[in-house]
Amino acid sequence: MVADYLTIINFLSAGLLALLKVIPISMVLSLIIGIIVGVLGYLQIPILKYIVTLYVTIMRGLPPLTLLLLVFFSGSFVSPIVTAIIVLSIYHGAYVAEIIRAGIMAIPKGQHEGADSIGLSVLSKMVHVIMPQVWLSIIPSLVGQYVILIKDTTLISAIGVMELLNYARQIMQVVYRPVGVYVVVAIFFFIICYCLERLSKYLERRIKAKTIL
Amino acid sequence: MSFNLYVLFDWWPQILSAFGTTVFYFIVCSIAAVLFAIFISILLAMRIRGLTTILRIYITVFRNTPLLVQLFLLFYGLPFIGISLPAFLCALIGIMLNEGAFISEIIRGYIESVPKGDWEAGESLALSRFQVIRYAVLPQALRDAVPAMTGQISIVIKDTSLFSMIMISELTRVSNSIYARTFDTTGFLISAICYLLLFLILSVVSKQIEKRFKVKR
Amino acid sequence: MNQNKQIIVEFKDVVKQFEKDLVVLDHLNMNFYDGETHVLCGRSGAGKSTLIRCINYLEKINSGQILVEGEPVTKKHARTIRKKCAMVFQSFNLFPHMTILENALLGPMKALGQHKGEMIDQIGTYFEKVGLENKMDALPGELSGGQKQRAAIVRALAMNPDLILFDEPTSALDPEMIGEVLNVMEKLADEGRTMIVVTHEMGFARVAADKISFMDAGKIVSTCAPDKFFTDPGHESVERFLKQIL
Ligand SMILES: Nc1ncnc2c1ncn2[C@@H]1O[C@H](COP(=O)(O)OP(=O)(O)O)[C@@H](O)[C@H]1O
Ligand SMILES: [Mg+2]
Repeated sequence: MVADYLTIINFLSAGLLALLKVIPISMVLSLIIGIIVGVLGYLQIPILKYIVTLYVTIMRGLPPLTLLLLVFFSGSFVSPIVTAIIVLSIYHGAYVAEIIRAGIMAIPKGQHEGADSIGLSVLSKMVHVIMPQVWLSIIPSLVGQYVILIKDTTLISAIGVMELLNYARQIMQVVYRPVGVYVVVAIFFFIICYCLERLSKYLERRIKAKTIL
Repeated sequence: MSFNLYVLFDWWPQILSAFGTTVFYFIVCSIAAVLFAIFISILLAMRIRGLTTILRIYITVFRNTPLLVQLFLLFYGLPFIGISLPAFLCALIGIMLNEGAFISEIIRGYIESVPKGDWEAGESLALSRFQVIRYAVLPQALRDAVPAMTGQISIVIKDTSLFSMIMISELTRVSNSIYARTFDTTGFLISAICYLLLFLILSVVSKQIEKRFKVKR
Repeated sequence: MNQNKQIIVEFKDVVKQFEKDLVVLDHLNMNFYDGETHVLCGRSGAGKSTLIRCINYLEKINSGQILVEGEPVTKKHARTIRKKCAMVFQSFNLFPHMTILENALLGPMKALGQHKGEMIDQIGTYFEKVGLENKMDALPGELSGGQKQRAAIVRALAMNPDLILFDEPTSALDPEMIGEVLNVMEKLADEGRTMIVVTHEMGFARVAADKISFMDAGKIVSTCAPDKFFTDPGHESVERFLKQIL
């Protein structure tokens, strides 16, 4: 019994390797996409603003699994893991963009006017005045979005990335313990996501305390 | 990635039925999740010692583990310990427990933001704690929660795509099998359009509901 | 002077504290009598709200005993006691999702188990008494502050209580609406209803109260009839208080 679980954990840790690539890279890429799209969305540039809205709406309405399958089978020359990273980044990038846009909107008007009055360009206003203030307030929502991203990595098993669930299926042929195997997978996700959730709650409290002071 | 009309001509009966399945599962699962969430949030608001701790653990666990793993546990895991549920029930229970956890967190937040004075007014009318919740607090909390709840429900549309992994012939599974037969990804495009359509319809309906439920204090 | 009247609420050596060092009711002894309108005044923070909230168990006392019609106020008796004593709050606390008629029906139907049919006429006359007979189907959000508080009084009356507790019922109102609420309360006092009223409205106290008590730092410093209270309260701190607010 104990031996079974050691085998399971041993096997699954191989699947972690893929996740250790997919998760951090997708986090960074979705953040980059989110910043660009979020700022563009905020600036309301003609025509471009429709494209931004279209992108965000499509990502909010589409299941990430469908998107993964569509992209993977349409461009079968790309490896599963690269597809996974691209799709997760594009998908969660839209949500990050919304978070960032809302963060910018929450900055008091006076800050924008102040920056405009000293003659800053739009770009330097965003980079030097607005964004530094946005970061703090959006960190909790951003961490929340990353928790969803991490859980969504289970979906990439469907396009054949060798992550936890696909290894889980393989172990099942050695030790037939579906409950045990999936519980171990669940525990893995729980530990990471729960820690992040606590972190985001903690940061939220800290930030609130600071802004009230 | 191109849209080939012939896929639609050849496969429309399957696609149509898959669309129906997706819509059906979406509706049934959302209703189950919302009702379950209301039930959980009432139990939480009752502040029954012991039970509250158990419910907190349930919510924390289901919020922080992937839905797909939960579905696999129900579908592939339970038979191993002697409980074989049909895929339909696995899907229903999976969403009920998973989205139920998220929605009950939403409702709990709004219950907590009902002014303390309203609780006290209810108590002063000699109502029991359950009656205060049922008549004075919950209706207000639910109305306030409508926008956040409809947002969460729109996620249930997307959740239904995971049912493809537990043998339910909804849109994603059918597109997958179209691809397996034809190596044509048009099926995925068609389902993408269907999902978007459902999402947009739900957005419009939500707006109507939100408008209807707005109350002044 | 009280021999012929029955005690309705009795405080016996009641102590209530919030944190360890914040004693809000300090070994308080007090009787409230059936059929009387008893006004309670004193500076903010004196413990007036806490005192009346202890009567219907919205606050739990630390030691001593409170009896309502001879029954001790405890968790076990809380609901029976609340059926007998209604409360009117400073901020109305009407349920915003119900019409004021539904607000008034809720307690009688759900807590007292009465039927809507037997209540509706009675409640209708209460709404007439407070001048809201045309507004019964309005939501609280559609009413002015004065109207809300009058509706809240109807909600209290609908319970057919032996005692009504008022916690600064006019403090949240715009000045021009205070009168309409006080008028209703004066009517109730004239009918001989038993009321304990926390208020700073000394005009109301003078015409409507049977007794006035002054509270300071968790104790009742002085209790007397209105004429005496305003002329010779017998306590220096009351005189200072009266000088400040009159
Ligand atoms: N829930 C509470 N927690 C802690 N302190 C409280 C609470 N309610 C009242 N107090 C304190 O008790 C004291 C008396 O309050 P209260 O009875 O409201 O006075 P009053 O109604 O005479 O203005 C005040 O110092 C107040 O700060
Ligand atoms: Mg007070």
